[in-house]
Amino acid sequence: MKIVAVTACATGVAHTFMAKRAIEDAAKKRGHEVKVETQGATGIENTLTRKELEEADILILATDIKLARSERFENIKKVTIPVATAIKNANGVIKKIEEKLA
Amino acid sequence: MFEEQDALFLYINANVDTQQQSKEGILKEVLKLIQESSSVTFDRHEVYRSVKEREEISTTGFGEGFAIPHGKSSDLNKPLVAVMKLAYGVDWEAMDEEEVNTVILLIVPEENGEAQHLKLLSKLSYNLMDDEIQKAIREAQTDKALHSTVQAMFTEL
Repeated sequence: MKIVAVTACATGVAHTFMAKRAIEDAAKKRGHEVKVETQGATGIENTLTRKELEEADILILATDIKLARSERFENIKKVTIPVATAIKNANGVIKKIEEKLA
Repeated sequence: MFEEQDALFLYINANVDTQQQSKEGILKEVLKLIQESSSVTFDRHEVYRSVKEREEISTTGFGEGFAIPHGKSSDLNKPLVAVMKLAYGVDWEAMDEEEVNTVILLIVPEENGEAQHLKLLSKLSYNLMDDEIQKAIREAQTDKALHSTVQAMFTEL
């Protein structure tokens, strides 16, 4: 699968990047392509392009806050989860997505 | 060991000798330890207040036995990263409720430190999720062993 994700947290930056790493590792381990955009206190990094969003099989929004430029994510198949869930159990999240999309 | 590098000051202690059992006690004590072996002078009380303020917003317990407290100092001109292993675990209200036995403290300059701070913190939180890095830190028994792992984590700064 092609997985794209956006991570963002309320207090600043650490959880955003912890979630990014967790999703990347879990997706790669399960044999998927993955790109994760971060919306931390440093602003938007590793921005998802329109093409990447269109080609993705699923978009994971791991966020506790309102995302910036969220109009990009309309009409795309997505799941929204808390940042903590991505950090603690990214593997489980991706497994569930695999089952749903299978 | 304490060393000055181009981009930051690094303090490494693989065996922190302390009787402290609370987060506050640990923070105060390690700041004293850092100051004593440091080649730069900084007001450790100012740093403690700033770290404490940050802890009160939400815990910096990272999970898996790690904590990443952070604060500011008006005396420093570049960030100070201190990596310390404790003999005993301390409660840090971490997300996974595990006790903390490795403290990675970031102290950044008060002035113009924001961008550096965020960069350091994002790098640290990203790399510290790596199982291999966690394992290497856990297994490091000496300052030298711990130093090489920490160096790898911050290399791309």
